[in-house]
Amino acid sequence: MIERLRSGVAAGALAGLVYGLFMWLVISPVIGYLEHVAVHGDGHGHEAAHPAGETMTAVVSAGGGVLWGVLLGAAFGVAYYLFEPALPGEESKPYVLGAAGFLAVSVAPWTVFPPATPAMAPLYGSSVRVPIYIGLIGVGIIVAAASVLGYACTSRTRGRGVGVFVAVLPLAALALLSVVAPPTLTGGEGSAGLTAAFRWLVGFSQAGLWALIAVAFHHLDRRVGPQTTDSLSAAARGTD
Amino acid sequence: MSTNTDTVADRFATAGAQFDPLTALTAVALVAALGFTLLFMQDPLVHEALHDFRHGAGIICH
Repeated sequence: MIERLRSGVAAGALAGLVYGLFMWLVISPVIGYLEHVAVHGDGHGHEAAHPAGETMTAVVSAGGGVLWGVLLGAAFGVAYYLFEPALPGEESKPYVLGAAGFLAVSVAPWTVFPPATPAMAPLYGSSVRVPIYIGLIGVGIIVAAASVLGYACTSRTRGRGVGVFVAVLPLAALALLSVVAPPTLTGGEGSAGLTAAFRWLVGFSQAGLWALIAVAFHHLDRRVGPQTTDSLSAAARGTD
Repeated sequence: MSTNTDTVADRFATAGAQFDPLTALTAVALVAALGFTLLFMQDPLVHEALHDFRHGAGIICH
């Protein structure tokens, strides 16, 4: 287990460094721009509140990105050790777990609390949002587990097509949740295009972070682990 | 990358045998502290310094 944890932390640190760099070079400037637009556009934003200073905020946020990668990587390593026997596929196991992690930690909370641009203000206080957010991560874990287990069980007995169909059912239920969930944000109506672009940026950067963790973990784990199988399929896969 | 025949329950049992509860508790506490600081810390200075990160990662608790 220690080996898997070590691989996970190393993969997370690697992915976190890339993500932190991305935070520094892309996301922070984009958020700065969006704040600028928000304040000088419709006067809705919260640009004024920067007691830590712009540079400090960018540095700490980049560091936060690195630590975020380390945190997710450590969780990934432990989860991989514990649940590896239940994951379908051979070479694709880390990628299945990476997708499950992305679903649980990011996508499930986003169904109720979509990523907010600086122009938007939350409708509810953090004492309401934090418990729901944690609960949604739990929901995401259940959905991911149901999807993976459903696929593993039915594809073994009824074939792959049925397995995929069963795996999609929990995901569809989660998608339905995003449709029925009440709105949790106000503001930012004036720039639907900017908001959509920002959400795609956020979604892809998180997916990329998980993909990077899975790829790095796959390589590290194979080097550390006792079994060495062919490395073609992993090398053929890109990151993001 | 896995040839084993053990199950998830076996893995939990192995992990339970390898680590005493105090070590496991310490590890969980450290992870929880890091997670809390990154995601939920509302102290104004910490909060504002992590502002870009929380927006960028799509974390709503900011």
